[in-house]
Amino acid sequence: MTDQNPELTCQQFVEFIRDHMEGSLPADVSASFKAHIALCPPCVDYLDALHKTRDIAKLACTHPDDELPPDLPEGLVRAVLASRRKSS
Amino acid sequence: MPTDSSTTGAADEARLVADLRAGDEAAYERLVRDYGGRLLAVARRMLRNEEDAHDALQDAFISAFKAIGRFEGGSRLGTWLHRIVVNASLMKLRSARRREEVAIEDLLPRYLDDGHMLEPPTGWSDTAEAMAQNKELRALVRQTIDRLPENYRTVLVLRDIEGHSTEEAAESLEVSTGVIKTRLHRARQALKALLDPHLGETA
Ligand SMILES: [Zn+2]
Repeated sequence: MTDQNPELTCQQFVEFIRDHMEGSLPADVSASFKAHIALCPPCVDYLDALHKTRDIAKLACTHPDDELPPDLPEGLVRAVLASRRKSS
Repeated sequence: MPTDSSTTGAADEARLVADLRAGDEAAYERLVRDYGGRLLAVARRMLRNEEDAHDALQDAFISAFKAIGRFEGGSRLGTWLHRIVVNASLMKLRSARRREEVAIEDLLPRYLDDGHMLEPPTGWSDTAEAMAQNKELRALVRQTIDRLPENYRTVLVLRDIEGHSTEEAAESLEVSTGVIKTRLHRARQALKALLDPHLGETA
């Protein structure tokens, strides 16, 4: 049935990555999207790098070694509690 | 079952909420001390500025104190507070000074008239994820995220870092889910382009 799947250009493929990574690729695009993956290595590189970008962003921002100690500065605790008394 | 902290947590939580509603001063302090650290971490990720993060946390607790009467026992207290600190951080962002930002259009692939890419994209090697073990590289990635235009950075942080759904992000930012999806896609594309020199195969 591949003749019923219009070929995507690279530009269209890259735009559909948006939905692909959301897990919401329209059903009628799915076969064309897969076909493009099979025949276009540069787009596969691009898709792969976007997945890695997403994963690295998360790792870079949540790595336990980078977190400041979870203890609240005591001054901030005092300020929060004081502002409650003021506003109530 | 002391190993299941979520079960004991639920009972503790119900008691804490009841005490808060009763206006118990010690309960307010406990709320701040028990949840404040994690919430401050969220505000820091969203605002990247210690002073702004403190302000947002304070605003968040003031909102939470006022709204505790409307807290529905159905959701977890931590989830509810997370939502509130995200909203307080978003408010803060709207009033924040402009930072130096990149132009997103300059970082997207360019195409020929026939839809082919003008230049082949830079692929990333398989070691890219392992490189995230490197502290300097993580700092570089965070600084690079900070250079994204605010509208895009905020969506990336909510979706990819805080783990909010598209629907939740759309509600927080008062835009459609389509806008969230597109901004997230553009933000990742731009971030990739900015990181290509450091993580690309030819790097
Ligand atoms: Zn292609």
